[in-house]
Amino acid sequence: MERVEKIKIGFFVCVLVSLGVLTLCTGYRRLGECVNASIRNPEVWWAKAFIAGADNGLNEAFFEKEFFVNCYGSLQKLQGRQIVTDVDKSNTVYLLSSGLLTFTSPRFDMSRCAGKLNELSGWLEQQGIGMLYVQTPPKTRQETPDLPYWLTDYHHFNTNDLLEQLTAVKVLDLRKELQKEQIRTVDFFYKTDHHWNTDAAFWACGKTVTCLGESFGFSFDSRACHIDNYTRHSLPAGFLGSQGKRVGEIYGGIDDYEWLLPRFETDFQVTIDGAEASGNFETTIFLKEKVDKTKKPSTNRYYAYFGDDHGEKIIINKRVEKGRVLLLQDSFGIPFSAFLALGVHELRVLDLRSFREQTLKEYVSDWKPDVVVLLYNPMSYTKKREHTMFEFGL
Amino acid sequence: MLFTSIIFLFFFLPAVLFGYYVVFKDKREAQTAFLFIASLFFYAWGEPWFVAVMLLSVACNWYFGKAASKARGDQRRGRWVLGCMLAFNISILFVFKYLVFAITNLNALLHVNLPVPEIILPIGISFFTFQSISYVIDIHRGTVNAQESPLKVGFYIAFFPQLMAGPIVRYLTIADQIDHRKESPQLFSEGVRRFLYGLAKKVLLANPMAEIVDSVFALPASEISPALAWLGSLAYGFQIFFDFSGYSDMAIGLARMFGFRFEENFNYPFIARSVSDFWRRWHISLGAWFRDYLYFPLGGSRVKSKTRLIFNLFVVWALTGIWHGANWTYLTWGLYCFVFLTFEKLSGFEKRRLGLLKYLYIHLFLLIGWVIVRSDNMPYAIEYLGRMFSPVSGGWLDVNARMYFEEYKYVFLLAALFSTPLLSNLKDKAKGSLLSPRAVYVSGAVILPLLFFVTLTYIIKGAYNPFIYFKF
Repeated sequence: MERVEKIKIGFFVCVLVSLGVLTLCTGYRRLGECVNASIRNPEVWWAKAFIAGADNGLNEAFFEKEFFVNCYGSLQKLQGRQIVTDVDKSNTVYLLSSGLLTFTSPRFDMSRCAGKLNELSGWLEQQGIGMLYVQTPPKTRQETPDLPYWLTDYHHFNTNDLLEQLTAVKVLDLRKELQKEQIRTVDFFYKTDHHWNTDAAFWACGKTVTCLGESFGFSFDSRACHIDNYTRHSLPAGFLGSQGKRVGEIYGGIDDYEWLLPRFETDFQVTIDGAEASGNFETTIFLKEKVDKTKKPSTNRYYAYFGDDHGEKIIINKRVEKGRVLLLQDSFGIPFSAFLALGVHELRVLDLRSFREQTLKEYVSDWKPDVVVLLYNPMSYTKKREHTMFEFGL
Repeated sequence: MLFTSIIFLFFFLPAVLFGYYVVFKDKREAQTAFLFIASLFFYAWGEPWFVAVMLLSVACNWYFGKAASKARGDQRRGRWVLGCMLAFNISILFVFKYLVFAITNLNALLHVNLPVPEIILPIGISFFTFQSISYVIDIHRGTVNAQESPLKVGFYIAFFPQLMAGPIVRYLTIADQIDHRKESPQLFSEGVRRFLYGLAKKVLLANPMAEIVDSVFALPASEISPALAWLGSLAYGFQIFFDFSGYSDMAIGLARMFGFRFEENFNYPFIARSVSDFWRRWHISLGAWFRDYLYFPLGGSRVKSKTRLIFNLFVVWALTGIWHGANWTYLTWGLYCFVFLTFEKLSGFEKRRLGLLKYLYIHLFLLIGWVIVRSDNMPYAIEYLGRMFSPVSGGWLDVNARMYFEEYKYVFLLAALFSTPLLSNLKDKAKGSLLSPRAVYVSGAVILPLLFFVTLTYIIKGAYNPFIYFKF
């Protein structure tokens, strides 16, 4: 009997030790990154920062975390659940009737944001600079809601609230464009990620430059607008997005990742957060390693264009002579800006969530673009983002 | 550090087991010292500064214990030592836990503007302070001898299994075990089993219930339908039971892994048939503490007048309520229990045969009481309770109530099942039945690892995992 008890004990201890050791061995880099990032916060005592970083790092770097998340998702699917909660409530994932996964937004008073945008538009007009506010669509439908009956999502509500108050701003509401062309959200959004897909970004870019041309007489290299001028590439079942990573493949499915590369010749000089690179589209803007099929589907394929969110990107297209555009974006702008860069001489992209070097007013005063485009998605309509993405230094 | 965290399960616990059973094998003093230091590290992981409060408490209570021991036989001196000890411990508790509440209410009552300090409550202070008090009182009473070693007093007070959420361990329980405990594979294995069941209770049952509770109680009371109100209260009862009893199971299980046997803290409270019976099954260590250190010294039930009995009960239950937190809701809940307990004591309720009506009575008592405990303030609690009995514009049942029931129906079912001894009785019957012992044994050997695996998937995924003991 004692022998049996010792075997049980040995098994229990072995499982704990093995998983701990394997986590350290496979995840030490990620653990180190989390601890370093935490310690760098000057407002927190280093000991507490270290503890928080270590806790966070171990959670993120746990050995074969995806396998456990997949099993967890399977259990939720077995129970028929449409909600998968998270330690952070804002990351709770919902399953739509369309099969897409989504986050939701609470109601948010957009008055301040609207006021800031109206103010910005007025100031830019005084500088002789046009401004276009491009409203990206959310993942949930407005006209035929695909949410569970008990779920209220405020993406559309907040968006409508904002757009109604933009009295001095030229607006391109892509939701209306989608509705006009009867495009389904399932075709334009990833199942497992909160972002739109490459086709959606390309389509949105086309709509934006058309509107810029009609509203401000802005010219854009037409080669960049035609889909036939691109080669299409695909990684079938190759992308597990931000929402899919939280629920696993069994629960939420998996996406194909498709990307477009220009057939025509390109020549860029790209400066990202101070680092320069020169070459064609595929060497300066597109990162091949992100679409490496040997890498796990949980690799963030969405960042195949430009690699990540960046505070500032300066993209000079040596094959196009005209056009200086300043784009203010959140992460929805990443693939969008790649296509926009193909049709203008100089595109500068700012992400005000992280760009702190200057205020927008100072930046525009220094650089003087032909036109300013803002491309924000409804998930950015939050208190946290209100004080960064809608602060222009006016 | 939480028992349900990755760092505890896969790093801290294996490291402590290694240190205890390998590095300091067969060196009892070193093992105890090691566990004490490990406990301080465990506590510091949550908030490093709190260790200073802990060490101060250990040092002073060790000294009071020695003083109480020397003062035996000298009643006056003994009372003086007890008085100082109580003043010290209650002051610490008051400053960290009740000062802000007291000043805020003074400002409101007297229309003054006293500065309200920002004080962070050291986790577990209510538990380790009560343990310290019981230690010195037991020495004064002659029930135990004073511990010469401050390290061992520190170990008793700070031992990590029971540090944050109890049970409140008496020194008498642990005194002999500090030097003369006997670890064994059988006891360790029992500990593992107990720990894993506690872990599952917390992660698989308490946490999902917490998702419902936190959402419901975040709503304005005016938006809550009667169905949702009852569901929210039911969910909270399950949450607090499985969270608390789960933590107690984990504490008892961890202690057994190191050769210690703690007393039980819960005994299926939801099958109680009276409020008195409920309190004999719920947070047993707390009830016993108040009984032995407050109720009995006040005279208990053996007093000459009913007025005195009622007074004793009032004091005990008011303080039991306020022990849970610095809020009028806790005091109200304590007094709510007082009313029913007094009624039962004076009416001989427990002896009456009322069959199923007793279950209805106790569960109604609990469902109403949970609302008071969980609410952030009394106005909300009152409004919420009102909502339980009168519909809003949407009627008796709203979409939220339907949603929570649909989404969490299996969790509710399992929670109801595991809050009774039904499965435990079935297991005992199976052992004594025609089923082969091997079949019963193998099924247990399969179920536990499976349960552990399922629990791990929830922990590693990072499912919702609230810590509710920060108020204690």
